[in-house]
Amino acid sequence: MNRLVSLDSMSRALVACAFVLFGLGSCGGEGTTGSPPPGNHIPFEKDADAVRIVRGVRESLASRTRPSSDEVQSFKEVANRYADEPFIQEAVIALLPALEDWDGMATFFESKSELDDTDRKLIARIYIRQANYGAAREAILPLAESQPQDVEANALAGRALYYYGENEAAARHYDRVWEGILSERRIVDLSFRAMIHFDEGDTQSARAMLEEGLKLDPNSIVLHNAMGRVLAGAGEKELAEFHSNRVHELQRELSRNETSQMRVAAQVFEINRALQAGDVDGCRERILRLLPEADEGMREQLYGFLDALYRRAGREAELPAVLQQARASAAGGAKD
Amino acid sequence: MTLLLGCGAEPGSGSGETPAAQGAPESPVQFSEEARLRGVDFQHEAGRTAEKYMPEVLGAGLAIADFDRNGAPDLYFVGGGDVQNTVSRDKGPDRLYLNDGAGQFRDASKEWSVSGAGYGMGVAVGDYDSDGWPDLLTTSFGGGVRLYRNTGSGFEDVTESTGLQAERAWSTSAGFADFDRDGDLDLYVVHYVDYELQLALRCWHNGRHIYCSPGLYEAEPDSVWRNEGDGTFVEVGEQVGVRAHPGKGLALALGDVDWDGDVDAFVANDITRNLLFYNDGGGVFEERGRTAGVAYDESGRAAAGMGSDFSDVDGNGLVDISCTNFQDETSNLYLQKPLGVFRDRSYPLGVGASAQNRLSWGIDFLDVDNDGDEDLFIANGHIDDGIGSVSEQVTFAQANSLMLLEESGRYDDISDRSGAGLRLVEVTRGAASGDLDGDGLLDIVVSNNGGNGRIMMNRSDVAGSTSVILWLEGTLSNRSAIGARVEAQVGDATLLREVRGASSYASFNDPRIHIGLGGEAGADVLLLWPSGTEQRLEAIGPGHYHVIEGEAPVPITPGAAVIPPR
Repeated sequence: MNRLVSLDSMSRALVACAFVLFGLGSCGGEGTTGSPPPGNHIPFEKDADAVRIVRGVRESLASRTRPSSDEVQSFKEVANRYADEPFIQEAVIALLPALEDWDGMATFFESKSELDDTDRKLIARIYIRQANYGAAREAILPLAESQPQDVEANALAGRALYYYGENEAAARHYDRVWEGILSERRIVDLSFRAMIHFDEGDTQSARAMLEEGLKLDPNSIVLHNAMGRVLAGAGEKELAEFHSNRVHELQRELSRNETSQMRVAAQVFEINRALQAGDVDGCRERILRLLPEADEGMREQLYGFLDALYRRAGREAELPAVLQQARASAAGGAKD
Repeated sequence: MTLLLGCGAEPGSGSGETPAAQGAPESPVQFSEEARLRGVDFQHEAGRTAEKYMPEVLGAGLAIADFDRNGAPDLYFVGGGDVQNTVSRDKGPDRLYLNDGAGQFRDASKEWSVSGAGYGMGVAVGDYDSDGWPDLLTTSFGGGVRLYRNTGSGFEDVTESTGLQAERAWSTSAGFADFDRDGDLDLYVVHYVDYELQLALRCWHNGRHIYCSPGLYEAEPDSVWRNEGDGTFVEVGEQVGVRAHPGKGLALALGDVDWDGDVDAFVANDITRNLLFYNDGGGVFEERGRTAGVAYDESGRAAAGMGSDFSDVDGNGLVDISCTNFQDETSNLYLQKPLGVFRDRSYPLGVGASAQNRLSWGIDFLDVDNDGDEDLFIANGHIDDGIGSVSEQVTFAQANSLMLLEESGRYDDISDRSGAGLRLVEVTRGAASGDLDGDGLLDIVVSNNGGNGRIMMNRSDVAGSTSVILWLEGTLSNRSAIGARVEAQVGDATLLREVRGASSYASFNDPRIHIGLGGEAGADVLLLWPSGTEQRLEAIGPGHYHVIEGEAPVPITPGAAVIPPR
């Protein structure tokens, strides 16, 4: 888990919702149009051009194609005109992260006529995502100060301040909501608070916090990494090595999985290409190469694929031998 | 309300220029691009193919070194070539440009028998045979390394006779240093992945053919070649503890990380953990990257390391380590405190935000305004020429970054306030620095992937801030003085400098020591030679000096005359 995940997850969740909203349907509530902003007298649903543009973007997203630059620009202009409309906000959240347009996101939300707490947190998250910690600090501090019990606001403030190098202030915000950080298992924030102790020379407190974190998540790479540093700083070489080695092991596991997925993805594409070219033998060869790396579910799919492939080519007679070869190839991979 | 994006170049564009910063005053630090004006017409050949082979995106490095000993640094650019034909270098040859001392160059490639081998990657410089003429080593994909002995008037390929023809893996960065402290230069060669064109995979992302991740290929362990002192090298990577740590290496920084008098090594690896090898003083290494805290970033993730350099950023007398990475990973700035323990402080120091949307390669700590502290230059450029079609904020061609170290200890990104040289939007890889025109200010040279070599001349208005530049030459120590350390007292500040055998990405900086004097009249300099000799230079004033180990410094005028080796 890293600092980007929360926003990304939120975006993904909202993408589906936004598709519905674009269609002026409902999603978790009525498809409200809200009040037009000052100087904008046409409600969105009566603005045919705006509706067309938003629908166009929606269709692009639904078909997993990137809207053209012109479409994006037009969409932004519509968003500009209807910035206070809730469904436009949802649309922006659906589109701009997909385009990695974080500046556009921040600009959009900052220009709303009124910001609520959710907006302020979102803006702070966007700035943190952009590593613009000065702006993140400005965006979240008023809220964190006025609501000292708000876990998310104070954790965001702590994070922005920590990255900005203002450790003392960061610690104050983290400490206010410490119980919440633990109960919500905010591991990254927990490790940052511990490292502030470490930077202040308080190795004992840093270590105690990280131990508490490791009880919550014994396989956290972030925590093992931080613990390794703290213990190395304290001169506890053996223990430091234990945690550093743990990071290494967890990283290797992660990387093995990623590599395997990447290889599978590359091979699947090649199989499709061979298939499209009518190259049955090429397809078979690639599937045989992929099988040792595939998990059980994928293997079953590949056997089914071979079956269909040979039947379609009228080469059913070869199937038993091919499938036997495939199962032998899979067994050689010793996967699972 | 506007929703315009803040990017200078069109997404996916090959090159361009960022606009000057609106409203912000120009910085006194100014760079102008003058390659053509100064006689440098190098063009890198990326040889991009429809197959999208991995080597095509890595670009190449360059070296700044005084090959003809006229006191002025020359330029060597590594070409690229044809990744499918690494037997001969018909396309994208390497180029050598000799400096007249005033920063005017002439192409001496033919006369010095420069061509290149394989698909070119990096370069290292060092006087391996101790004859006083700096020799040259190039790395490559498909062509192994090549060692060129400098005869004083040309390069002679001695790869076979030195035993280096056995070095065949895909090599990226390399560096010379006297690891075992026997007075001659050994060699460290960084390897990337085990990659064969015939077995290369094709990779797609959302239906788009892209360059594959190095994650798909096995890491190649690095090698260390011990100089036998008789004109040959022997590979000792296993014995000295390096081969046990395979990584997907792209960059190498050599220097004395624990300031104990020997040369340590930091290897920036691509999506595998970085390596920090501590030298035991006899050339045997212990890898301590994980416990030191430089193997991973602060979140414990192995980043895409692509460049590295050392500097004492916070002036605490301990060497700090930088490492450039992929976009969104930012560039790491690992500060050492206490000895042997590092923390990445790139965000609090202002480097992180600036590097966030950039994919970074070469990196140099250099004092661009002669104020005594070392500023930061980072070379940027994406690997994916189609990135603009999927991201609104990340572009293929990118502006390079220049950050001034302020008194507060934070870096201020002045890239868009520092003249046209810094506003170029290109696909940069290698970077190195040196005083090319003898004016006491450090200039920057970069190599662009599939583009021109660029010379960014330092035109800063530094108002009376001068510098001392020392060309060190060992006698008891290795002739190139690689590994020599400098503690310079300038006013109240103690500045640490070092002659380093490698840094940046696949590149070699001018090895002369540069000490910015700020407004001070001079510096008291303690030279710590690799041989163990200590030498003091009292109240040395601004200018260029040639210092032979144990002898008084001799003022020189760059380019005035060839200084033959003794």
